[in-house]
Amino acid sequence: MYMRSFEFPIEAGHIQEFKRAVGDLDATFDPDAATPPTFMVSADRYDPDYDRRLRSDRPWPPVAPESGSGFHAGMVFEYHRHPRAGEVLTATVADGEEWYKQGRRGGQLRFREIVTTFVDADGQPCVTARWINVRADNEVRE
Amino acid sequence: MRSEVGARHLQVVAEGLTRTQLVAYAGASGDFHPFHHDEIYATTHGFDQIFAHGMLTMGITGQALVSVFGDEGLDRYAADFLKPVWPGDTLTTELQVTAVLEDGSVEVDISTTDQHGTQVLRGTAAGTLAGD
Repeated sequence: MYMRSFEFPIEAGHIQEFKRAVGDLDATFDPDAATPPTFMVSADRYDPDYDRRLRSDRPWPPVAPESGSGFHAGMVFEYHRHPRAGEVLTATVADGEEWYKQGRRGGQLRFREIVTTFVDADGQPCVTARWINVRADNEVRE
Repeated sequence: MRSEVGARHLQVVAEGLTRTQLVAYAGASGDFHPFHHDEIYATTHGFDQIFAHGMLTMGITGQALVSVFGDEGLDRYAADFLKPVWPGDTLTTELQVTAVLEDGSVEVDISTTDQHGTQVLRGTAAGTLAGD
């Protein structure tokens, strides 16, 4: 199973920026701010392996659609508690479940989860995020 | 929103989504995939124009959840991205309570539609309503 970990510092200015970006246009700086519901996805900014950004070691854009990498079909967040500004979490990214469904236009769709778990400085769970990717699967399965 | 099955909350969560907001979300989230800010790239790859990240639609929809659950009331938030959201779209989110549990927490269905009535996001959430 593929897995990687990195630190995710929860910064008040980042929360303010994120709130404005999702429509709370007048969000102000709050040094004790709670994280918005989907904020954990922005941990990608701290992930050294994240490829949807300009990098010195990879071509841009990262993946051409023709390669059949699929698309982001859904997302699930489970909150054990809601982290606040000033905390430093540890994010661990791992492969999750995989399943298949029949597509509406025939053919098979392959769904694949990428699960990121966030724990606090005491090792206690805060949030689990499941990124669900889907792509057409033309291979014959046994 | 009341803690009873069938109670509803309706909220306009985006009015005329701007390209600038897509760029702001790219910066805030770290997701700079060119589909969401590079018009030439998007049209070259078969789209009419750039479109919103699915996670932006989920984040925008999250405003309605914060309205009823507060900052720390949510236990779970799940969404499926059904259709692309385009610059200029106006999005409305409807929440409906589907269950009230013994501990007083609720489960809700989530639907976000664009100005044409097309459902762009479908989801569920669970938690304790603010004020309960």
